[in-house]
Amino acid sequence: MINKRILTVLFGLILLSPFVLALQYLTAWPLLQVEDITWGLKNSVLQSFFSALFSVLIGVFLARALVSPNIPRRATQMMQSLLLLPLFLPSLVVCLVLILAIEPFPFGNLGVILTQVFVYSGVVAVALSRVLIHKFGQSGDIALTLGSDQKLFWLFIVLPGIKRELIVQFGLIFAACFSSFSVPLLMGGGRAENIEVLILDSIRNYGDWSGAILLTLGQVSLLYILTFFLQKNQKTTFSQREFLAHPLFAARFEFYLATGVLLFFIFYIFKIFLSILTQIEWMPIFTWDLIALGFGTLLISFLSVLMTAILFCFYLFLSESESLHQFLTSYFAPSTALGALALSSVISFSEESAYGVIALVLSLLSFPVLYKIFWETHHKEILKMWDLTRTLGANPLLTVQYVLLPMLRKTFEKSLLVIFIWSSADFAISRVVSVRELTLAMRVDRLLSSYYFESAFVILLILGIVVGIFYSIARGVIHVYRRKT
Amino acid sequence: MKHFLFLVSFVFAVLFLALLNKKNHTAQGQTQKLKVFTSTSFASNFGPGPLLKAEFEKSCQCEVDFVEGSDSSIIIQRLKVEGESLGIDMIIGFDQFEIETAQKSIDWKTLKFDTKDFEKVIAQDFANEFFVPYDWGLLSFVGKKGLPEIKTLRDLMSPDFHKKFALQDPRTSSPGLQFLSWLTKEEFTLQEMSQVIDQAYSIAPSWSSAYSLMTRGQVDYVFSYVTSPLYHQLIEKNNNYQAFKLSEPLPIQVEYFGITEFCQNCELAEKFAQYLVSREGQKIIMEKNFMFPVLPEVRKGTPFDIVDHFLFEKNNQFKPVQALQRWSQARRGNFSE
Repeated sequence: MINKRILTVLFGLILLSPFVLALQYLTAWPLLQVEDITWGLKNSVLQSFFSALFSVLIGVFLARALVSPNIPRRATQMMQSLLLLPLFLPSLVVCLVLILAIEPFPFGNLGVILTQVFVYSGVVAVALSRVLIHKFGQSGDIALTLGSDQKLFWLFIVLPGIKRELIVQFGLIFAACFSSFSVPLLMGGGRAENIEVLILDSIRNYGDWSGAILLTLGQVSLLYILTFFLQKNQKTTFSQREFLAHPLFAARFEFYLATGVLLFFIFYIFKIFLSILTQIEWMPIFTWDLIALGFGTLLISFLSVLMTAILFCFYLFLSESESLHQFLTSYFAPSTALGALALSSVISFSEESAYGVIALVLSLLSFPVLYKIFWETHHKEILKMWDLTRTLGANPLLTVQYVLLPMLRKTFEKSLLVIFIWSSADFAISRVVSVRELTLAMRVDRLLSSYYFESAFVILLILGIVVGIFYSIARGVIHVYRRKT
Repeated sequence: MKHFLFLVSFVFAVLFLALLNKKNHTAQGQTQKLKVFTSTSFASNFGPGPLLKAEFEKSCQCEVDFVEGSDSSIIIQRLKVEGESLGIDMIIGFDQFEIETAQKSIDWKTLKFDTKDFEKVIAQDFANEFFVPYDWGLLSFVGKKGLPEIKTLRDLMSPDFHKKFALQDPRTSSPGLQFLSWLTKEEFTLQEMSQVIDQAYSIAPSWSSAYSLMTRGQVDYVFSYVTSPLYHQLIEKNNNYQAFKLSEPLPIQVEYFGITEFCQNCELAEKFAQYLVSREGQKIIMEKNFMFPVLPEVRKGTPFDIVDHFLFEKNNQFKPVQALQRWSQARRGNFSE
């Protein structure tokens, strides 16, 4: 009989390994200055607070559009995907589009907040729309019978009714922004460094590993405490229904406005690529090694998918554990630079196995995020299933294989799709781990570090096409497989 | 499912064959392998690395293997952490500020190179016991021709240039550190430094993100190399860019190579080092890296012969750690010296 408690501890240690391994470099007194920490902390709090606040406010507004009964269902479904798009696109693309679309772009704390609100309000909207459907599907009828209008219904019933979920969403976005790295670096304009940027600064400029580790420890602990208490407040189960067939939820204006903003965003992405394609003749882009880089990208993506799938299967086997659930909802992986450097310096690997090491780092650092986005809302369902199967005397491995995996198939697929996209677009972790150019994203980074900006974006386009083709193939294969079985 | 498995097997089979092919290729020659740690831009197909490698390999029974790091500071940290296990023989691409940190991090071989033909200023002011310069550059503001000129460094505080220029963050970019050394040399107070930070449209994390703000028209000026307009002129056939001459002497960036004390192919590393500072090597570096060669005769009669147009001077007093702390202080708005 396998002792699940030991396995749970082992699983936790595996996830914590990037940080635990970094502790070996805690050898000297940190060089950090108090003023720098205060400054970084102030910026982190300021950016996270306002990003979370505005994401929640806009999220409520957008959630109305998502549950509106007077909008065709297909349109709201499409909008839901569009709202999640900024979260899943590489930060570089989102930042570039915003810089080009908003001129002059307000670099600094304002720029960081603006970008983060753009990225996260869609996620809040999707999460809140599920809550609205679950909680107010029936109370809307009563309110309508009692003669309530839409404004009163929202002000006095809906908003007080989702207060707790708003706090939870606020906390989660706060935590995500607090540990954000690339957006403050790109959009801070050198004036809005947060704690994450300070961590890189400590290693890069001062070789101060101790300072970086202590900052990371402080940050992870702070976020852990914050999200731990927030999760205790979260009692809602989320509905799987798609929309509310109730006139009090009609919100056509919000829908059109949100769609307009999102289409504007997509328009700018195309505008950038079109402007680049017109200059293509002088660009030395198409070299034979692009094929190898394409394969490298796919290999790392496949390996990341495989490792993430293993981690999720491992999680499912241990998913009865309430403490594991609390750990996963509260834990934010530490600084990517620190985690990747620590892992790669400990694991002895040849140049060829760098693909596997990159995939491992990506999977370990992304797992807690994927759990928060896709899995935590299913925790209660999972517990119910465990109770049921235990009562029936089922074997735990069979429970995972024949009950939990089929039940959470869609969530599983979504998580793997997202890790596939993230790992195919990664260059930051790959650069730290590997001393060779292995992927298309690394080529993009390389081109950007010389004068070939346009070429870099063409490669980014090729990367998008490669990922898109393989995604379509995978979807097709899964579809055929499902029909056959 | 069969199709899916077939697809996955096919992808992995191709990758395996590619890997096998690569290994065989190395085994056949039975050559010495020189492992050179360098920056991404140096080793890329668009940088000087591949051509230098190809030309050097013609004259030796060896293989030059470029190993890349994301940037020089991360390379130093990796060397410090992983040291000998990385198996690096040689490093190319540290600038004058980074070699100080590199010297403190690991041990280097003493290099005795004949520098009598080197550019005078480089041979005299930038000599080092362990590192040898192989190229250098001057930095100034670059923008389109016909724009109002930035005449002095203090013009950056004028309302005329408000949000019209992009800089690099000195904590994440080496040109950014050069800019900070310039401000320090010109005795900018914390208040003035803070004003410059506020006036800038963006202080970008890297040279590339700052430069692309200029090429995309978001800003008129960017702090870059005086040779940057030559890239547009020679490669894009676009003669619209210029580097501005400021009244203050411009900062100089010098790039060095060094050989690690734990090198495995030390002799080969020295040979490659000699090749880098030969006429042939210098020409490749100049044309591909868009930097000035250390041998002045190489740039004579080429579009790179523009050094005399600019005033420049070494900052002897610059201490990066203290300067970065001042920069952070100015950024926070704390002006107490």
